[in-house]
Amino acid sequence: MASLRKNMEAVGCSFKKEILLYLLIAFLFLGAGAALWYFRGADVLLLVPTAGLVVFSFFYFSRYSTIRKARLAQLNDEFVTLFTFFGIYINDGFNVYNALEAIQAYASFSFRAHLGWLLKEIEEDKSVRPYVNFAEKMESLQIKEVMISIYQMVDEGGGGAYIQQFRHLFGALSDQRHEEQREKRMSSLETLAILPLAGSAVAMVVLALSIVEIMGGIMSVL
Amino acid sequence: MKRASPYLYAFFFSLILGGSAYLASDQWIVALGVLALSFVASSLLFVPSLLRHLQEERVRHECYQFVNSFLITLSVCQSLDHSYEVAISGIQGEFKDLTAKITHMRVDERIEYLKDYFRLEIYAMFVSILRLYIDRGGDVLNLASELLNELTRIEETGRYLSGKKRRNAVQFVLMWTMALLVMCFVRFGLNSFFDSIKTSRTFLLGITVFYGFLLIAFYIYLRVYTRPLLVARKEDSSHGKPA
Repeated sequence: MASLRKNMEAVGCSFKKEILLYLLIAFLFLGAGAALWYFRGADVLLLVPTAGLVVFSFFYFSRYSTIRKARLAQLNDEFVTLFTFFGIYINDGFNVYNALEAIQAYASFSFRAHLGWLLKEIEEDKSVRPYVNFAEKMESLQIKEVMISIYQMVDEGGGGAYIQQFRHLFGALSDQRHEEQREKRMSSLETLAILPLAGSAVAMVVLALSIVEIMGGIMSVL
Repeated sequence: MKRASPYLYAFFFSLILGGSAYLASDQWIVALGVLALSFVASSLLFVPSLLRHLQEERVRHECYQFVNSFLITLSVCQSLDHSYEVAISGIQGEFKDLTAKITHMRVDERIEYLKDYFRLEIYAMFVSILRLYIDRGGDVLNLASELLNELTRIEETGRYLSGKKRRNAVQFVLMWTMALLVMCFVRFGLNSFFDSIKTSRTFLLGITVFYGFLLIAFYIYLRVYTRPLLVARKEDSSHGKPA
C-alpha cells in the first residue's frame, strides 16, 4: 500500500481521490453483477462483471508505476539529448553555468524547471549537493557520475582532464541509451507479435462456439 | 513513373479485408461493413501516420547528410558558400524544391531558414554552432565534434531500426494473413457445416469482433512502429544566440 501511495503521489495524483474513484467504479461492476444475479440467477454472464472488475483493478493500479517509469525514461532520454548540447557548449568554451543556462532553450517544460532549480541551487550552494540532487531525479547512477564530473569541472577550474572525464562518462552513457533505445523499440514491436496470435485464438473460439451452437441445435432436434 | 497514391494502398488493404470477410461469412453486408470500416481506418489513421513516419525518417536522414557534409567541407575549404553547395548536391524531392526557392538568400540565412524544414533540436544546435563559428572563427570540426558524434549515433540507430522494423512488420502481416486463413478455413475445410454456421448470430458477431480486433491491432502496431527517433523542435523554444 505504501509503494502504491508513493507511485500515485509521484505522478501527481491524490491517494484519497484515486481510491475513491476506484471504489466508485468497482461498485458499478458489483452493481451490474448484483443486477444480473437478481434477474438471471447464477448465470454464466456473471463472469463478465467479475472479469471486468479484475481487469479494471489490474490496469487501474498498475498505471501509476507505468506512468512513473515512462516519465523517468523520458527524463533520462532528454538528459542525454540536452547534455550532448551541454558538451558542445563546453567544447565551444562556455563555462558550466552558462552552458547549463544555454541548454534550457532546448528543454521541455518539465526539464527546464529541473534545470532552473539546479541553476538556482548552484548559485546558493557551491558544493556537489545541487548536482547530486539533480541527478537523483533521474534515478540513474551513470547520470550521477556525469553530474559529479560536471561539478569537478567547476571545482577544479574546468581543466582539460575533467572535460575529458566528462566526455568519456557522457559518451558511455549516450552509447548505452542508444543501445537501450534500440532494444526497447525492437522488444515492444516483438511483444506485439502476440496480437496476430490472439487474432487466431479469437478466430478459433468463434469457429468452436459456432460449431457447438450448431451441434447443440442438431442434438435438440434429435 | 508516377507513384501510386497512398490511398490506393489503403483501398487494396480494405479490399483484402472485405474480400476475406466475404469468403469467411458469405454475407455481403458483413463484407461491405468490413471494407468500409477498414477503408476509413486505413485512410484516416494508418496511411497518414505511416506517411508522417516516412517523412520523419527521410528528414532525419537528410539532416544527417546535410550537416555532416557541410561541416566536413567547411573544415577543409573554410567557405560557407562552397560547403552549402556540396551539402545540397545530390538532394532530391521536397528538400531540393525548397533549396531552389531560397537561392536569393545569403548562405547563413538559408541554413537558418532550413530549421523550419528539419524541425529537429539537433539541427537547431547545428545552426547555433555555425553562428558561433561565424562570430568567433576557430576549427569548425572541433567545435562541432560532439554534434557529429551524436548525429552519427542517431543515424546508426535509425539504420539499425529501419531494417529490423521492416522485417518485423513483414512477420506481423504474415501472421495476420495466417489468422485470416484460419477464419476462411471453415468455408472450405468444414464445407458441410458452413451452410448452417453462416446464418448463426454467434458466428457473424464473432467475425465482426475478429475484424474489429484486427484493425485495433494494426493501429496499436503502427503507433509503436511510427514512434519518432528524434525529438522534434518545440515551437515555443527560443534558440537564440548563445551568450
